[in-house]
Amino acid sequence: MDIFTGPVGSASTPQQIHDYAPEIPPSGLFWTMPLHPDSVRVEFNSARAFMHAESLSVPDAHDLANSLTHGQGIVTPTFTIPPIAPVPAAVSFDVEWSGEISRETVVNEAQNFRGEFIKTGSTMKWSSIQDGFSFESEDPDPARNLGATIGRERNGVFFDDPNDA
Amino acid sequence: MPDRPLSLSRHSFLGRKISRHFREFHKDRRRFLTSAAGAAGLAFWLPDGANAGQGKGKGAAPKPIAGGAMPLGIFIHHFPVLPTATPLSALNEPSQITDFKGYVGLNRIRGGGTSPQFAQTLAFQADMGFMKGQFIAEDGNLHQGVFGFI
Repeated sequence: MDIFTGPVGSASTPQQIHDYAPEIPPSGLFWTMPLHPDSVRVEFNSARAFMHAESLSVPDAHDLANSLTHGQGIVTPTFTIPPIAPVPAAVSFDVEWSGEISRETVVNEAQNFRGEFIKTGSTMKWSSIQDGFSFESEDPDPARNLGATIGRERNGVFFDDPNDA
Repeated sequence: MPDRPLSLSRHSFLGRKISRHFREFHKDRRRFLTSAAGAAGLAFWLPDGANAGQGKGKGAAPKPIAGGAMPLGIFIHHFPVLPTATPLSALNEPSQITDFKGYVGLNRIRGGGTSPQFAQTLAFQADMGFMKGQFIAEDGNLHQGVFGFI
């Protein structure tokens, strides 16, 4: 969940001022954290899913570069991001996937996953708070969605598992 | 759903597959979740039986997918969401967790919002997702859980 000083619709790393995401552990598991079992509800046949959390403790790495480098910053051919240490923050969000656009069975042997997937619309309302800063997003707007998918899948050792998930 | 690791026979289809997979690919995996979460001050739910089972000394943390993208030239175990105009046949793995079966969701939204500390509207981008189902954790056991991609 990233915040930028640029115009709405932009997402330029040099203009980023907040980057809320779980710390990347040594395993490389990416921006993933356990949620309460009731946080996610899936109504797959209706092409709908919901994710909710309140006051979830997530560090603010300031920007994508510092999130990916654990606060080391980065030098690229076009811009330099200085090292910035993460700070404690909390986020709340309500995310909805709904409005079936298309549905397809996908078997991707190269990436070792398969399943039934639905392209949908999605909306989100969220907020953040930390020492010296708070943010509240606009109301949910389906026009803001750039891509959304839900699926019932199996991967890795389950790729050939004959039992349904 | 049960709230403890599920039992698998080594002689079952899945048990054989898992045993072979771990012999070949996961000889030296590291645990992360409980220690990293504690260090970051995160408060969350962990599946029961987090340190039990065949992978003694390893946690119940899920393992990342093998593939991914390279934003800013840095490899990450994640593929960005499929853009709305792209057909599902071109779908990349939407899960962040491997050895997983269950429900997944992923999206990208760009919008605006306000902050008392700024006079102008701020822009945001959020790539959000979830994984809800069963997975083989770093400890080698079958667990179930709900995870957010945030």
